[in-house]
Amino acid sequence: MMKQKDRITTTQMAIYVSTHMTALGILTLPRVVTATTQTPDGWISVLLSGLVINLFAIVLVKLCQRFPQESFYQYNPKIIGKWFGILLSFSLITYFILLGSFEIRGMAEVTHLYLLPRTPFMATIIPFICLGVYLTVGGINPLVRLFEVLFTPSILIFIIVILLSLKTFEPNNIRPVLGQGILPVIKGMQPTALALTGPETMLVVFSFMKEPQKGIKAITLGIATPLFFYIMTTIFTLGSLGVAGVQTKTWPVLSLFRQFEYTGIIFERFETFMLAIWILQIFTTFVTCLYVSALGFSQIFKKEIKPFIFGLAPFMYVISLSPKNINDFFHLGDFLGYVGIAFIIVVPSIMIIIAMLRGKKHVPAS
Amino acid sequence: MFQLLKIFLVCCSLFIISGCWDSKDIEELAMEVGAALDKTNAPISSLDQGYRKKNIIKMTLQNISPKSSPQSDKGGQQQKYENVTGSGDSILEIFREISLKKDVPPYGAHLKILVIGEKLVKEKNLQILLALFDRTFEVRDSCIILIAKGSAAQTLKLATDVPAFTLVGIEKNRYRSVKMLPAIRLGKVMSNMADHANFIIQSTSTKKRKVKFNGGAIIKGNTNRLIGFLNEDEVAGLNFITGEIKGGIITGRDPKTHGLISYEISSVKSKIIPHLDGEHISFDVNIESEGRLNEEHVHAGNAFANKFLKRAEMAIKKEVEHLVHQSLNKLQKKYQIDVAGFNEQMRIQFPKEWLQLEKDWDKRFSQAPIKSHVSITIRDYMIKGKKEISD
Repeated sequence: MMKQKDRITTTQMAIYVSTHMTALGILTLPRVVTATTQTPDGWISVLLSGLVINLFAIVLVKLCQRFPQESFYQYNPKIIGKWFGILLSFSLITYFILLGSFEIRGMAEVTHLYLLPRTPFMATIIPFICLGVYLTVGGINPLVRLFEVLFTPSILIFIIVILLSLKTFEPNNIRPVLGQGILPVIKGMQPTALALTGPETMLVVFSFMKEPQKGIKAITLGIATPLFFYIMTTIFTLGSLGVAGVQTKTWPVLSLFRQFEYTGIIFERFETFMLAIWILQIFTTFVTCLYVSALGFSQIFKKEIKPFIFGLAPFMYVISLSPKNINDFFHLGDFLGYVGIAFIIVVPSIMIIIAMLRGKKHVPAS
Repeated sequence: MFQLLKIFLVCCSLFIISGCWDSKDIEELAMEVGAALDKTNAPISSLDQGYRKKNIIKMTLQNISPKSSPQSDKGGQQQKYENVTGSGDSILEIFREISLKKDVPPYGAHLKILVIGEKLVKEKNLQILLALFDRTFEVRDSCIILIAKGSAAQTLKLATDVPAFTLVGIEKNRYRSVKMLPAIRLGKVMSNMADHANFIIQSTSTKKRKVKFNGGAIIKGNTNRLIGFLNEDEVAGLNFITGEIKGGIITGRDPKTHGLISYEISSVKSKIIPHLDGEHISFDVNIESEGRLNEEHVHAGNAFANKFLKRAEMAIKKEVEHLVHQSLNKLQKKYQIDVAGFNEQMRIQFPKEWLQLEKDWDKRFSQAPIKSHVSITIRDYMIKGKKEISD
């Protein structure tokens, strides 16, 4: 069960949430948002939904703070009863398993498309999962330490590469701001769901926090960082490809980096860098999904976590290969987006109301 | 024993992790650097028996091989590239056709330039034509597109080292000429076509293995077909309207002595201001340019006197106004098409009304009065100010 040394600091928590958020969603975000808004205001939609998510994530933290030493799997039976609680825990676990599988499939699709066209999916997915298992077996601490290591280079490379795309940036493409009023912007908030899932892991990992009272700070920082990337990505992609162009690209963000070349400096092409850090980000999301779902099983059945990690890995492999084509895959993504949002917005809000009404709270042992 | 097993396993892993599934030796690739698409009505050759194809498109690929070619002792010029031709009904079909003729597969990731023949773009929808290049992961969106007057294949047969690189090199000379359009790249072309926007692509002419960038090819947005060309001066005028000028010269005539005055542009700023009054549309185009006096064939032109500079500015202003007027005339009267970005400004300034205007914009544009306001400032005149009268 939980060891005393499995404690993570506030910064680590923020990094954990933000690395979990940045994953597949970012690559398709400009397209899905613009397809709904049909105006260049997609970035405002992203900003607004980010703020909304942050608001509900604070509610989520408030719920967790009622039970600072326990994870969602452990405290939800206390609030809504044993059977409902277990049902809810299992749906959360299923969600994480699906999300993890979805992420690996996305990684495989993009690698297949841009990097290794002849390599079978198996050859990219299996090492990916094996590495994930190897990391997860160590527990939460190796996980967050890896995230910390990856965090700074990812941000630096991302900012440099996205600024290089200024070469093809046309300000006219993102003008006028709010030309068709606020309505398209509101509509555009809905498809941002997949990109903004992530804070729901807090339900589980909050129990590892060294200072639970700083939970709100951690989650706000954790959401703000990816949100900043999302907004930048949306603006630059739209500015470069235009409203109509963005909608025609399967992976608009990768297309963005294929629009320009720089001659004279060491590297001419930069999509490789973007792919490299992005695959790392996918890996982190996959690893957290694997860990959190295995932890769920171990806490529900009160058993060691290791067998569950090893047991889940082949499952995720099979699920990741199950979408028949890329459209199936995107549909799965939409579905996961909505489920994720439900776990951020609906579940914590209802739970906290019930908990307040029934006066359920963790009673300090001392 | 267990230790030994571990070491054995580690050694085994070397076999798996040291290789790359997709590795291809660079010597065994034919790098495409240029491609040309042409319309063909060539009869099916005797090699192609048993096909049901009609040979609509002819494609010429310019390949360079990284293999170092041995220096020939005879002193003969070693050709650094190889042109491969294939024809068929779809682009991918031609690529596969080439694989039946060549031992090394063409590799598209370094395609720099794509030239399309005039006849083909007049007949075929450019969006469909370029679909393969847009969809494939190999060819990058940064590949430059040109339209060739006449045959596109000829532009890849220039008497230079590697013709495709020559074309890319010319494209970089935009800071020296106002008569060149900004390079339009595959990604931009595809975005424009997705938007049903009209646009203009640099066109080239080739004669006796020599090329010249002359004018622009106008692509109409709703059909994605070529509808006509602008000549070099009209392109210059268009560039002044869009402000897409990095340098180059404008030559005017001194109103007093009719001597030539050459003005080298250092900057051009332009602003299109749309006006909407009910249904009535009009535009103001403000063009501001700064530059220097570089050459004058005016006797007794004294650049130290502001009076002469003012006269020179007037002369250049007149010339620019003439260029702008000329291109607007062609766009509005002859082709009735907006490629100068007037629609963009209308969309930005009047986003609500734009939804109605959008449908028959080209017609509205062709009837809209456009006033241009040009202001020229001559900053300096290099190290020689006064001209001696020698005769």
